[in-house]
Amino acid sequence: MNSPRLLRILPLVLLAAALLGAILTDVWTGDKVVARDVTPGRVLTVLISHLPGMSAPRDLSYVDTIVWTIRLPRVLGGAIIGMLLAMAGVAFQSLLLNPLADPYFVGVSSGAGLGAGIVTLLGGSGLLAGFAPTLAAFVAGLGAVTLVYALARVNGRVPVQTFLLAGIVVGTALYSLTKLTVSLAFRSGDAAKASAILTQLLGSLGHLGWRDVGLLLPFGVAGAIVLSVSWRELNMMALGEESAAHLGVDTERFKRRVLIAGTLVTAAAVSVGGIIAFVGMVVPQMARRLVGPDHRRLLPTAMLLGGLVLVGSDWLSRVYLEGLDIGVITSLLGAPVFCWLLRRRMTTMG
Amino acid sequence: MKVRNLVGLLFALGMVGLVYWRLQSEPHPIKRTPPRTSNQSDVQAELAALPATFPLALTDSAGRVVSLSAPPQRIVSLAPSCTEMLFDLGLGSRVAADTTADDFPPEAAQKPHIGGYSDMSVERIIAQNPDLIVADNGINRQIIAQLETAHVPLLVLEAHTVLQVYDTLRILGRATGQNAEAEKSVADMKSHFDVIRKTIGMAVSRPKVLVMYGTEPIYTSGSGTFIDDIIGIAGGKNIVEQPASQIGTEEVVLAQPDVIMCDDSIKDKVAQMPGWKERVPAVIHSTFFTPSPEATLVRAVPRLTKGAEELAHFLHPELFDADGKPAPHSSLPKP
Repeated sequence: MNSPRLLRILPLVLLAAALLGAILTDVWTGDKVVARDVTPGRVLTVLISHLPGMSAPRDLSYVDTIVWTIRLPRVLGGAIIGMLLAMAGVAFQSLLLNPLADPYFVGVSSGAGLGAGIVTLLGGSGLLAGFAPTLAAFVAGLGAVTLVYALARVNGRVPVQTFLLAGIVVGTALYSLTKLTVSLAFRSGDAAKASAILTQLLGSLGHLGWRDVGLLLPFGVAGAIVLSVSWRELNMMALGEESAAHLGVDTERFKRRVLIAGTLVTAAAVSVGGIIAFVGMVVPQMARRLVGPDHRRLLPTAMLLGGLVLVGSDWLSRVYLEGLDIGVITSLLGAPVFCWLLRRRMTTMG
Repeated sequence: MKVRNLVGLLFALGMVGLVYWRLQSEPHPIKRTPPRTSNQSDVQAELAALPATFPLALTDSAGRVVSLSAPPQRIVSLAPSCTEMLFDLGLGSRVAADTTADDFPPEAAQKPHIGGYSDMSVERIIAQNPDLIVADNGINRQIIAQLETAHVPLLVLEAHTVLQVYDTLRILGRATGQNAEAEKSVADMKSHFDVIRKTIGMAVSRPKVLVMYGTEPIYTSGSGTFIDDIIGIAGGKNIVEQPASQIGTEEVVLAQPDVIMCDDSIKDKVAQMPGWKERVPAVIHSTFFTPSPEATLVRAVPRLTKGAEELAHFLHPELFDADGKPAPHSSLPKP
């Protein structure tokens, strides 16, 4: 009697364990040059010393700085960003009934990047206790997805193909505007500002601190709650908008709510980690293969998988690729998957 | 369902509020003062008001207050110019690590590296266990933030003009306890520049100079930069009279520069610029100036004097003898 239930949660438990393992591995290992001093034993000592009631070993002060101030927030922040992007991906894909939809392709990422970039250009990144870029990213991301939606609407319906086209058009335009902010920053002679916006365009975790984890957490929790309580409606939406309406879903309101929630979590991820493409598209796909289309299990699976993918990419970047920006890695890994999906979709449709 | 929505919303708002409050109450690790205005050099007075010995708290070029408990023994430099100044102040042995771009003096290249100038590794910086980190204003702000939360003293030096080069030398001297060396370095620079100025005083012409760092677009140095200062000292006239960092090809043709100052690597490209071979005197006569490897005109370091000497010699060869010293027939005192 218990076994179906066990079978249902087993993938989740395994994924959670894998994520924890990945987080520890990412904190344990690192840069070859630093590896001599930051041994797994010392890392463990430092981690234990931060448990309540323990005191820090004095002789390991710089190892403590590396592990506790630099690596841990970076890895945890990366895990949360991965979860947020996967969550947003699930939301957008289910809502648009399109496996190719993700925060990047519907223009939300680019909009959010532009919002955060403008705030950085105007020198307001520290305002509202550091929430200003996130807020601007949210507003601009929402504007972008609204514009895409309006552009793609044909006779009161939003066909999948036009939606993707509109998303790419708007996304490209907004991406160009973000490049304009980089240019303006360079022209004003503020190279530091320009490089900050550029980092955001590339997508990077290298600079994450505890502050950023604090910025991400509330959005992660809020988004996860809003989407989790919506799993029934999301399942019904998968049957098509009309069927969902027949089953009693207020589809217009529901779409708005999920779009806003998806945009909010994307904005949080982008304003902190920059534009990290493909995670929001590929991860929900993988999760669907793993546990099927039921959102009750799909959402948590995709979140854990998203965290795992991002922490794994970060580890790859730090240990083997000289700290290459993570957005570059996810694009390199995600682009082939995207092509494969597109091809498969075309053959099944044809 | 309505109730569920409301609970979720309230919870989310509560979380945001909580984090907001938490971040607001967290004291920022570094105090900041408004940045100094670039054209008044009040650094000297500021530094003179500090206590004569450590511990001391001084303000760096970015307006950050940096506290130092003792003269630093393990210094990590994050920029070629900073490394050079540290060696100039006699602190070469205390430089624990620098970047792969640091090539002067030659010993600097032998130090362990914490990465490149624009892609440094924060972990490698901290693994050096430094008691002082010195950076220039090109440093990524996010790296500044990380080093600040790690509570490692970080001194940011920024010099746009020659006067500010003096300032940064003095700030660095104060932060490292090498005040006398810094004052000597500043005095040396000043006397070198004075000799050049006096020699040039007899020149009848002021050749027009264009500085180029790249061809597409043409990055240059306008007014308010140490390169502009030095072109003036060396008896030239910068064709970029505004504080601009770019210039169009057409503007260059209009301005008719007599000399183009650029790196050897882009000379060919410069000569290929459309219309320049026919219309720009510097290209027609192939009067390109590149400082020798021992000199510099792009780093804010004491070695600028050498670059200025070479430029003055290039612009006014008639006033100098063969080895670059002011010509013997000049009635001026020799250095």
